[in-house]
Order: sequence, then structure tokens, then C-alpha cells
Amino acid sequence: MVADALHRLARVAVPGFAALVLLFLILPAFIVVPISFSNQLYLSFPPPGWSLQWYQQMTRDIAWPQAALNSVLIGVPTALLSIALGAAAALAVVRGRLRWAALASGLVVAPMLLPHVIMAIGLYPVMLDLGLLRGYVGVVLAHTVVAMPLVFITVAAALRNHGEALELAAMVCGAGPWASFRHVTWPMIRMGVIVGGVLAFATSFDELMLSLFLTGPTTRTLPRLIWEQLNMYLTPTIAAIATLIFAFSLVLLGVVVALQARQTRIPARG
Amino acid sequence: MAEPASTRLGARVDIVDLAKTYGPVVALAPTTLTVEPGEFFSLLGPSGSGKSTLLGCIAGFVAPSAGAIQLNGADIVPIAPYRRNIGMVFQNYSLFPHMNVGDNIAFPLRMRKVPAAQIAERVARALAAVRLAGMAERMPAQLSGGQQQRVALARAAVYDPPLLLMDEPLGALDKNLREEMQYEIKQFHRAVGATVVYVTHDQEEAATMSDRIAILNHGRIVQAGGPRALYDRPCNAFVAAFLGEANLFSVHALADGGGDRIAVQTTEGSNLIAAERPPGAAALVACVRPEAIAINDDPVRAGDANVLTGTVADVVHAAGSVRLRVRVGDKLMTVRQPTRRHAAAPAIGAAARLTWHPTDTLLIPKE
Repeated sequence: MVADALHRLARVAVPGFAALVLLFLILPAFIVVPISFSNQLYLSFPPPGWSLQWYQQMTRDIAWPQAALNSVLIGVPTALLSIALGAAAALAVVRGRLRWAALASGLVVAPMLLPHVIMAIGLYPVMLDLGLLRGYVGVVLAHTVVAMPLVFITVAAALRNHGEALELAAMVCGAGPWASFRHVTWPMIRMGVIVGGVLAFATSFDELMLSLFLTGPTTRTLPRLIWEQLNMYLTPTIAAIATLIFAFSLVLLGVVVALQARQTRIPARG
Repeated sequence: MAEPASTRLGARVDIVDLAKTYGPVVALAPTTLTVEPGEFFSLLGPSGSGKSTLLGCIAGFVAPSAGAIQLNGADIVPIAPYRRNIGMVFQNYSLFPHMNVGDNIAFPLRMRKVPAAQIAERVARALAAVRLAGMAERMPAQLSGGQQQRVALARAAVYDPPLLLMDEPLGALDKNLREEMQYEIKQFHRAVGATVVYVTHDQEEAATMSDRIAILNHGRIVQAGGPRALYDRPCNAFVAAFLGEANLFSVHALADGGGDRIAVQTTEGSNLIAAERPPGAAALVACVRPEAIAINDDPVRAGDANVLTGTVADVVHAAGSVRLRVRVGDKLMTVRQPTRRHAAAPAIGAAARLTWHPTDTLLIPKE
């Protein structure tokens, strides 16, 4: 009887607790939305009145669209470079019969766990020596280091999912290495590559620490500009830009979820 | 299956001193073997016996450490797997999941740059040959296991390879479907005329389908021959126990039994009679097949037959046969008899007299 009661309680309590945790995780992100429509000069919640003035002010300041453009100009090459390197690394580790495959895979993923500030401090003098400081190339390279593991992980998962048998079958059918990759391996990993690429872009778009160290006045990214503005003026303009970034991130998330849902259905004709 | 039987396609396969080692591990000891053109040849053995390694070497997935594989006399070991022109059917079908059935079967033809019009015609013919006409637009995931395996068969044979490899192609199917597919693969083999090398761990499957079987254990071929020859004349205890069921007694001593009879004393202390003395002098076992044993048969003249008495320990009614376990001393013997409608099987615990003819006591080397 007691066990039954506990069991019933658990069936209500566990989902309830899970819902609370989710709220706790998500709610702070949503709080910026009402603040961005505030008519006050300071970040206050809940706002006493509503206005669009902070969005108007944001469009008046040329720095914001410029920073947004910089973020895209850095994020897109980062995603493309991450795709090229991450997919190649995944192919090598999963299919390459390497002696040190486990170690290599650990090394590729390591930057995801390493504090960005440590990498930033290490990269700063290197980029300075190479003359890449404050330019696009330096920060793209740095972002690729932290974004590539995401492509590596999604592509490696796709490869492990399908096993080697299909590629062996393609070979027996007369497909050489390149034809086998193009007709069999690529369709298997395509979705993993795209999802990994979107995640890599999002990582670069969101990254602050490396951007702080490596970008300059003309290449500064959105997160860096927010950081600078936060230090100087705490107006709801920040909340307005944060709301836009939030909406953009939700779109990216939606793309990833939609792609993954498509991947689990019966594969479409290739 | 309307195509006439042909043997012109089948390649002769000569495997010469082929070996594969991984560091100190011997996956395949030096092996020599010839498969005749058009033959259905099975590699049978427990997992880890080297049968898949041997098949992998022929397909080109495994680089042999030594030896040669000759297809119609030409060594294919240095040739890349995609230029060997060998067909292969895999255990898990390995159909390309993103291509429909027609594209799967067309794939090897496209790789060979066959003109499109010809591809369409040959794919249609291949689909008809495996009774899947009209299914070209289906995706593999929409097919049953048996249908998928038939598509795999069509894909492996559509380019008329002289050699077809099959790696436990029926391992993933349930029993009824497996028997149906065994028949279909045999029909298919007759129709295309290619040489088939077939890997399985299922002795019944190997015996049903093959012209010849090689039994492998610990990376080497123990014995090769026709299914009947292997069953009747196993070269050692492993083959006797692996192909079919066997009651094995280790032999303590042999003596002259009068006439052409040989008196066999087993280490358990039973006395058996055999009719044929083995050539070697190595350690021997006496092998008696379960279906050779009669149970509580009419009285027989002593000295004319093997007689052991024991008690029935277990009775299992399978479809069409009765399988009994009879305890004789410390030993459990297996007896199998066809089910007869009006004959009652002995009850568990009843006394049983087992008899069999001396020619059914097979003396064979232990190792």
C-alpha cells in the first residue's frame, strides 16, 4: 500500500520537478523580452510601461548592424571550416582504423571542455606574431577550434550509426573510394554535417572570450559589443539586442530540430 | 527464374596457401582450397573459425598476410575490391537506405558506366528473377526481411559476376523464411550459374544447399567434401559433432572381435562392436549417429549388434521425429527416431535397450 502510494506520488512529482527545472532554465532567457519593450531608462523587471524606443535607438546606432554583420562574416567561414575539418576528422577516426583513434577523438573534442580564456591567452601572442590579430582570419581560426568538435561529434555519430557495411557493399558493387563516398557515405552523413555546421555557426555567434581578445574595433562581434555596452551604459537597448539574438537562436534551434526530425523519418530519395 | 541454367559464368577459385595473422593471432592458417566453376561451396564453422576472414580475403576487405587467390587462374589479391567484379550478399542485406529498390540494383551497373537504357532493362530483369517485379520504386525500409534479401541478391548478381560471395545471408531471418530463402537461393544459383562461396554457421543450411562444404575450426579447414561424405566419413570428432549430432565414446582399446568385427572397449567401460578399423593409430573415438540407434527393438543375437541398456532421461517430440536422451552408465546418449503414428514413445524413467549395427559404429581420430 505504502509502495503504491509512493509510486503514485512519484508519477506526479517527477514530471512536476522536471517542469520546474525546465522553467528555471528557460525563464531567465525570456525575461529580457519584456524588458526590451520597457519605457524606463534602466533594466527593470517587470517594466512599468511599454515602448519601442530601445529598438529605435538600436537601429540609429551604426555599431549594432556592423557588429551583427561581423558576427555573420566570422560565423559563416567558421562553420564552413569546421565542416571541412570536423567531417574529415570524424571519417579518419571512425573509419580510418587508426592506432590512436580514441586519443585523436579526445584531442579533437578537448577544446569544447577547455576554458576559452585559457585558449584566448594562448592564442593572443600567436596571432600577434602572425599578424592576424584584430582581423577576421585570426578569430575565424580561433572559433573553428571550439566549433569543430560539434561537427566532429554529429558526423561521427552519423558514421557510427550506419556502420561500415554499406561502404563495403558499395565497394563490392564497383564503387571506388570517391564514388563510394559520393553515393553512399555522403548521403549518410549529410544531415550530420548540416546540423553540425549550424551548431558551429551558433557557437561562433555566441562566443565572447576569444572575440574579446582577438577582434579589433572593425571586426568586433555582437557579443563583444554587448559586453562593451554593458560596461558603459545599462540601457534596455541591451535587452532589445538580446531579444533579437534570442529570436535568431530560436530559429537556428528550430532548424536543427527540424533537420533531426527529418533524419529519423524514412530517408527521402537521394 | 525463367532463365535457362548456364555454367559458362562460373569462375574457378583457387586459394593457395592463403593466411591471415593479426600480430600473434592466427585468423587463418595457410589454407589451400579449390572451388570448381559453378559450384555451390559452403564455409562452415563456429564463430572465430576463420570462415569470415577467408571470405573477406576473397572480397578484398581483408588483406591476406600470405598466399594467393586465383580467379580462373589470375591472382586477385593485388586487385582493389571494387575492380574484382565479384558479387556479394551480406548478412544485414546492406541495401543503401537512401536509394529505392531499383536504384540499389542499378548501382553496380552505374558504377560500370552501363548505358541508361540497358540499365533499366537489366534492373527489370533482375527484379523479375527474384520475384519483385513492380517493386522498383519502394524504399528498402518498406520491405520485409525476405524481400530485402532478395533485392540484395538481385544487386549482387545484376552485373553477372562469375563469383558470388554470401556472408550468412539468412542469419537475420526466422526459421520458416530461412528455409524458403534457402530454396530460392539454390534456384537462383542454378539460374545464374555463378560459382557461390557461402559462409554459414548453420550446419543444416550448409548441408541442404551445398555441393561441397569446408568445415573450419581454429583458423584452418578441418575437412572438405560433399555433405553426405562429411556426415558418413567425418575425419575427426569435431567434424562428427559439428555436422549433425553424434554420440561420441573415447576408445580405450581395440581387439579382434571375430570375423570382420572389431571389439571396442570404451574408457567408460562399455563394449561396442565396429566393422571397420581406422587407418591411423592415434587416439580414437567411436561415433554413433542418433538415427542409427534402435530403441527396444526386437531381440537381436548377441555378437551381431551393439547393445547398451539404460534409462530414458528425456523425451522431446519435434515435428516429425522423437528425440530421446538415454542415460547409459554416466553417459547421456541421444537417440532420434521418426514419429510413427501408432507407436508410443518410451516414458521418462523407463528402461531402454539401445541397439545398432556394427557398421554404424564409426571409429575416427579424436583430433
